[in-house]
Amino acid sequence: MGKSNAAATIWVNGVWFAYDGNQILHDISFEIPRGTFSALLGPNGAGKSTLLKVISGYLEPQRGQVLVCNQQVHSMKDKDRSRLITYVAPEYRSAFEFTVEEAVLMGRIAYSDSVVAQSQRDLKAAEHAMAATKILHLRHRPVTSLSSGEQQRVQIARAICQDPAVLLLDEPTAHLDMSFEIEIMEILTQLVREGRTVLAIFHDVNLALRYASTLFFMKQGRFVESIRPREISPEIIEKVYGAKSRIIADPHADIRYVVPYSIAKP
Amino acid sequence: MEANRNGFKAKFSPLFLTVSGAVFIISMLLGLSLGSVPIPLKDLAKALLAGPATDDGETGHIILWTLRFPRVLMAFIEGASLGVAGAAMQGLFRNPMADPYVLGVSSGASLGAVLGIVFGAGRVLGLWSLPVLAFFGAFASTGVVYLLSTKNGRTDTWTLLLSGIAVSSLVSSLIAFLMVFFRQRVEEIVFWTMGGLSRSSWKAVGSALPYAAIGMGVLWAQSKALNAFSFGEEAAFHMGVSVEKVKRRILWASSLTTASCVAFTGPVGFVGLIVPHVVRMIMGPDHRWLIPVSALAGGNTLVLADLLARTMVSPLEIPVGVITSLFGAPFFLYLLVKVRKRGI
Repeated sequence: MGKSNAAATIWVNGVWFAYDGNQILHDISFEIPRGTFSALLGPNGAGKSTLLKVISGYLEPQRGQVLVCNQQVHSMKDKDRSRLITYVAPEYRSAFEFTVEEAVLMGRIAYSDSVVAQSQRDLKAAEHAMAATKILHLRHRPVTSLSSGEQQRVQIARAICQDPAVLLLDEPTAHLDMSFEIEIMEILTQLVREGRTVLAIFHDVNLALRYASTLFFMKQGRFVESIRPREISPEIIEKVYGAKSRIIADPHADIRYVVPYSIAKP
Repeated sequence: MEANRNGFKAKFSPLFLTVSGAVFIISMLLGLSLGSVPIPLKDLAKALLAGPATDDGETGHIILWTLRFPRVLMAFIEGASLGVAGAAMQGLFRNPMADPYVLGVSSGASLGAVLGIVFGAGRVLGLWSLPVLAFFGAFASTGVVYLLSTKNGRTDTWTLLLSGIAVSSLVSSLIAFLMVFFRQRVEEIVFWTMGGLSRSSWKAVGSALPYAAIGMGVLWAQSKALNAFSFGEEAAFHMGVSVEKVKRRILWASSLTTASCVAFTGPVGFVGLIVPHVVRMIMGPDHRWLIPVSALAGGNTLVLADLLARTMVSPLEIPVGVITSLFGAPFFLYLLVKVRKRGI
């Protein structure tokens, strides 16, 4: 068992998680340094979402530890934890017609003890978060009337409004078209530039290769490998996804892409 | 300020406060002045100013201070409680169809009262037997529903809803069972379960008010958490809401609020369903003011409904629960149809 690295914002050590008797995570350990953009990748059912929820504090592992900024997420007070780390799900449905601004301001619940009041700081934080996610023009629209891309930006704005050191996102670009996708990735990149740590699940390996600084691969509840984007290889893709692929380089930028072409024969 | 447009202050604009204050005063005055013995506004003012202690032998004065005033207040407190508890239940269950009775409060209260009626508890506990038994009945049924749906400190909201329905119908059949065996008491039982304010007294107001007020206060204090629940309990967790603690508070505070009034009046339907629903349509879903405005609107609604109950076929009295359902159900259907036509 290693000691927590002071530079690591997220430190996961020997985590096992079972749900209803099904073992979902097997002995997961890794660490993520502060101010980096990491991608969590792997086939469906690899346990990525479960791992993210364990790190967020929502699910408690049966064995192992999770430290976020040197604190045990699972024994922190709810308000303290949510000022440090927050999580954005792939999809949200609001039961009632809250406006975008009201939804974003929900990120300030952890900062206030007042039943009704919203401080100037809360309002400023919401303003900043809506500007960063380019949803200022939607502020008075009910969230129930938005497209899924807009809803996703509202939830990212809510997360920014919470001002956490660590943001966890489960498929932030699911159901989005190409321009929304890039917009979300740029918002996340900006958050990392501000010194926050971002860990996000992606479906699309190429999106992760382009924006993330580290890629973590999982398969069947186990940790497979962590690489830098330039270390991507057909072997890794075959090991994780069971697909044959070529790696090609973007002639205009130092970015590599995976082009899958067939299912590997077992 | 632009950023404050959706803020708390903006919603409680001077115009809004004036209008709701006026509606409150008008419904209170109507409730106090009209009845089988009408008290003209001029005499009403005089009697109110004279205070309860003076005994000038005027019938209007006695009716006002011993019967009508406590009754109107009781109606207001109960309406407010049902409005607030309804808003909280709809928020907790993320469903505009929830009402204060989903946890079995009304059937539990009824069973308590029915047991009191059939076993003649009045001989032991006196006048207070029915309210006390109904109050404990309401809590017992919430307790059963809570225990059924809680495992390892986590209360499952769906199980809560389903076990609330199951416990309610079980209790209702127990009541029916008791009615078969105690035929001579059926009229009393039916009268109690129809819900009415004729048993109001200053003592009833005094005993219901503190519990109702504490419950409403606790529910209002959960406003921001209830807002977060709109996106689901997991989302609320990630916003820093202590989900399980808040759920427990909402559950018990809402039962306390509802039970404190229902214990005296019997179950009054539809107010707790429709009032928060309509207030949400007008004011939006933010519980920080949905809850207080539902209190005000619920109170006014029940004061006016009780006025109708007392005067429609005077001197006969219709149980106020019948009035609220009679007017509430068609109004609710109208809203449903209208909202569906708008395509929402």
